[in-house]
Amino acid sequence: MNAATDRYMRLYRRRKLKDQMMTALLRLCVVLALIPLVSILSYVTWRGIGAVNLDFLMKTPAPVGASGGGMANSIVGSGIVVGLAALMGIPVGVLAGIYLAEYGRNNLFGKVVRFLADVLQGIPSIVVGIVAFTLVVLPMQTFSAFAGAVALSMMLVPFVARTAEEAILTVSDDIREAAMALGQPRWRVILSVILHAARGALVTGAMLGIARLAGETAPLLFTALNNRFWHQGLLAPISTLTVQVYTYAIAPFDDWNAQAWAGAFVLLTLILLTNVVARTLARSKYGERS
Amino acid sequence: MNLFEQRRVNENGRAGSVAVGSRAMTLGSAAVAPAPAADIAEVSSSMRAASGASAGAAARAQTSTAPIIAAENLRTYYGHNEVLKGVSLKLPQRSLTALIGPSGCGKTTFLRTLNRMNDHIPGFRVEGKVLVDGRDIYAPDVDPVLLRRRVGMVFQRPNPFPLSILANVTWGLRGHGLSRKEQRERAEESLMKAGLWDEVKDRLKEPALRLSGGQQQRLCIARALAVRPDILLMDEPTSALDPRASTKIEELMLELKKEYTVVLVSHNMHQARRVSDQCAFFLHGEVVEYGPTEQVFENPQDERTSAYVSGRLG
Ligand SMILES: Nc1ncnc2c1ncn2[C@@H]1O[C@H](COP(=O)(O)OP(=O)(O)OP(=O)(O)O)[C@@H](O)[C@H]1O
Ligand SMILES: [Mg+2]
Repeated sequence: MNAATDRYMRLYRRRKLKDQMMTALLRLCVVLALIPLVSILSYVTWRGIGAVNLDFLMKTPAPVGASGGGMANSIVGSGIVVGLAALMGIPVGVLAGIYLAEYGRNNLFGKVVRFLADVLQGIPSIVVGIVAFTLVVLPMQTFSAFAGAVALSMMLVPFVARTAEEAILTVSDDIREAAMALGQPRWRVILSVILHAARGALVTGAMLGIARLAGETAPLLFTALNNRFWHQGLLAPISTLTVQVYTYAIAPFDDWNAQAWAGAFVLLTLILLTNVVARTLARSKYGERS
Repeated sequence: MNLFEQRRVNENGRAGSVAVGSRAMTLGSAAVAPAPAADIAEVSSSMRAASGASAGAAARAQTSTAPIIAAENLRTYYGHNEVLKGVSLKLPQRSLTALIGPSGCGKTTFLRTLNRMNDHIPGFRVEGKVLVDGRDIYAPDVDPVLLRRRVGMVFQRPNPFPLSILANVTWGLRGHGLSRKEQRERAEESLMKAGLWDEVKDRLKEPALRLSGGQQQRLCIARALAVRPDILLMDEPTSALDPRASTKIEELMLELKKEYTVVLVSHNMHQARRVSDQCAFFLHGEVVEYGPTEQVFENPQDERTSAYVSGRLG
């Protein structure tokens, strides 16, 4: 072996060693990032799972002072408020996303909307709550499920708009052009080919948005408020899991604290499930190549 | 008579639709008129002058009828970049015209101005005229959507929709006033014309993306034929395919040109020569030479043409 190859081998070994060290460092960072997540999940499960029973899932809260009862009304209430928010927010968000991707790629209006959507996503949720309080609760003179849903949908629209835009942009221009060349109006090309091709990503985006909403507390505190009873229509205060957990967690009663943990556990489970479903749905039937 | 009116009436039979009515008229006038339309006279006389070319080719040019497509001093711009610099071409109907020329000379741009596919590109601009059946397709009252039903297009890369095979072919039929059954029949007819029927008839509900590249491209041809265009634009339709799949599509082109006016962009000289009746050589956004294929390849008028077709010019 001559000197040149010898030197080359030394360099090669050093490069390889560096490479291995970097990889190890990155692995360590991943582990560090996972520690909080895993510890939250396991701690909540440990504290919460014990208090989850049929009563907890089927009953409304027991009267103050009495023991037992559950958070069934809060679970249903969360479903109602988040569902209503999704109903209002997703269509608006998807339409905005279509606009951004199909018509507003380069024009000024598109740029402004995109910028605002990004800013809106960064606004603290308590501020969104105050806005909804001012716009909905004050004029209607009542806390309500509707007001809570409005607050949540304000958070949902920018998120869905941006994810829908991304989803639509991933549809290749080839397909877009093929559809246009067949002599069909642009709206039909968008509605039937583009949205169809992007539907996996669209559904995933919407579900991830919903999962995020399900965990919000601040925007609901002074919009949906809370309620110890089954829901009484969209124009009455309503209980949600997050607000109920908050209420019970800071209360000075041990059994309420235990129920707060159980509520947190149920909430986490629901959110995880939504995420899993979202990612499973992301696979589309005709998009796959065999 | 508006050629781009929706042909809802009697969509099923070709005869009776507005466009075909007009074609019958041009056919008629060509038969009655003492001389064939001027453009063909140009092509055939230049051919005779050039080479005393075979009477067969001359006869073929004679029997072709009036041009279905005519570009007149066509200039196109992407922003400030002038891509086509005054192109005048007349393409006779029911024949195959090949556009050849080095990369970047504007063949695709020319093709896409014929069905206004460039309308959506920011900064794109057209000067001059493109006539289809004598009508300026860039006139303000022409609906590009309806124009594209007459002028179909097949692209370089096969681009089926992520739908089933059947849904791909019927997708373009919305708004044509066809029942489900009629759409299905139309799909079958188009798949047969595209030479794909036997391969897919038992798997029409399967995802189109499971087909091979060559099959996908024939599916795209079937999809284009389903809306019953008169003109078919093909932009290097075989360049992404293997030789066997290419041969299949070439054979198909020979069939298609009996019924449609086909405009083909090709980088493959052999292909252009085998399938085309006329051939236009583009260079830097201008048409250097246009004439019967035999003449362009055997006896080119221009030094640059002969350099290109013999492979001396890239
Ligand atoms: N969308 C576009 N925006 C800006 N310029 C473009 C666009 N499409 C094409 N051009 C320019 O127009 C010129 C001609 O391009 P065109 O695609 O028509 O060439 P071509 O003859 O089809 O080439 P090839 O054989 O490589 O396909 C090129 O210089 C290209 O850069
Ligand atoms: Mg090209």
